[in-house]
Amino acid sequence: MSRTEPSDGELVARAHGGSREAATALFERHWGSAWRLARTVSGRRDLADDIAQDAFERAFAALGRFDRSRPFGPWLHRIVVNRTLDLLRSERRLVGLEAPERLESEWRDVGAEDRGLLEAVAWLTPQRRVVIVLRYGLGYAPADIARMLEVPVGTVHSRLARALDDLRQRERERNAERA
Amino acid sequence: MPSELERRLERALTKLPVEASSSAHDRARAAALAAAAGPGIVRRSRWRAVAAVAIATALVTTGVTVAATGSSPFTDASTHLRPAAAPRNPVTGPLPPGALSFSTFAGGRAWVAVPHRFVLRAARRTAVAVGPNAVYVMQADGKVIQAVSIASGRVVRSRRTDGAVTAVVWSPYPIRIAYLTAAGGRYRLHDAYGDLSNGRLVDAQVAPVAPSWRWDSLAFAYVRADGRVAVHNVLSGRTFVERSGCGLRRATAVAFSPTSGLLAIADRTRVRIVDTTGDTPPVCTTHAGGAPSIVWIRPRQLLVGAGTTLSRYVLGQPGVAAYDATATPATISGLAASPDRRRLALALSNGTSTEVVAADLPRFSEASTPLHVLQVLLRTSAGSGPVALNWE
Repeated sequence: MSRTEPSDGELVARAHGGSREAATALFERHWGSAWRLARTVSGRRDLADDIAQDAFERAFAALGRFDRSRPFGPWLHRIVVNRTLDLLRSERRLVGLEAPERLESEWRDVGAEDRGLLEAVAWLTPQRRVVIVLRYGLGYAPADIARMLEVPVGTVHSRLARALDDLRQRERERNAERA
Repeated sequence: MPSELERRLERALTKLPVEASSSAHDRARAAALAAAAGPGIVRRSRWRAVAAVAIATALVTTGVTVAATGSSPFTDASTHLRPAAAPRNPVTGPLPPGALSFSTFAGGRAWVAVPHRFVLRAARRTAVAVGPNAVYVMQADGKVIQAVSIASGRVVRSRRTDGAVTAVVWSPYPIRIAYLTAAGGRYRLHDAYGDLSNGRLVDAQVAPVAPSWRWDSLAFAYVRADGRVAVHNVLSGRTFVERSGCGLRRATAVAFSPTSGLLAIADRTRVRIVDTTGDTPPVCTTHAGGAPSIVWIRPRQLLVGAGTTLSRYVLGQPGVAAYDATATPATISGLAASPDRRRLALALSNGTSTEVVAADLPRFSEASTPLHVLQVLLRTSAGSGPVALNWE
């Protein structure tokens, strides 16, 4: 007989009750997706470590306020997105970093074709990058993304459409450069 | 129906490898578990309060002095005393385990250690600060401040200042620094980018207290010449003076929480924690008395070292939910936490010399566990005065 994995809600309840094992299981279950989200939205490995850690700290410190009838992932991902955007905003203001210059050539262990696409994603504005990563990287429906970002669904659709247009345009430019 | 581009996006983004190092993963997990444990500690405070009465009674009868035991300023608090640190043959070495860098500034001398070598060793300086991730060290000798690459040892940038630099503090993201200069008996506060460009005078009359950066590197707190605390926003250039309260006199230490706008302010007897970005009511409490050093070890947990007592405050909603104290064998003249905030560095001064040690963070639940000194990092003949420690 196979043992059923505990749900996020069960793990949250047990973690909130003081179970270190449950907190560890919850962390391990979501660390990868949180880190990937931070990595792809920020575009930087060094920031991803800090953002993911910070998001987990905030989420775990607030387990008591978490609505256990809802999935944990979107809640955590929303924190990750907010932290990332805050950080990017502050960095850009402080040192005037041109994000794309920092983003290219940072991808490792990724095939050449995917790297080109990921670099194109990194060229998007942070708002468009967020919806692309949430939609295609984590599989959220536009309505879920709208709830997470607290924007109308129509805004999510338009950001997605514009982001895809930007990506196509970028691909055309790259192909023209190669030719 | 998804387009070819959408299919490629799905493939590229979903199979993206998690490139986080194992140390980043472990550090994040430890921090997350510690954050999850926070509410548990608060919830258990009722039985702790009962235990505290017994412990406090025992302390009084044995004549041990501990901060805030007899006059604890909060009602729902628990108090523990640990025995003084008793090193069990701690190892000696300038770098704590796992550190990228460790710096000490005491009595006008600076030490900066990195794996296998010293960058500075008892060098005569007026200020030193290692930047985040130990990429650069900022050093000052009188009116010259320099950014030095730790890897190459080369001076990357050098600037002359309007007075002797007496303190330098890096922002959490290594973008900016805040520094103090002294001239004509007055202290001035400046901020600049980490490459020493775009330097600006923030306040022409401040107290000789090291500023503290907010987690987002957008603002820092400092102490004005009149002893009041101000928060300067580096983007807007605006400065807000915090209201006085809790009976605090001249502030002698400030420290921002590593993850929020909570700011701890201490004078020689009291601590006030204010929410500079929200509307949480201020928290007032006391410490052991003496020159305080503050370090945050969790988003809502801080240590104040003063005299021979390390006081821990766990913030609740609102006020202090729990408290404990650990005695140290000499006066605490400096305090720092490791980047994962699981270990501490303490400068312990006895009037004739100072010993800098690394110790495990005392666990809240282990009232009878002594401060566990892991390593003696440094011994110096500087026997008094504040010691600046920096663990990266």
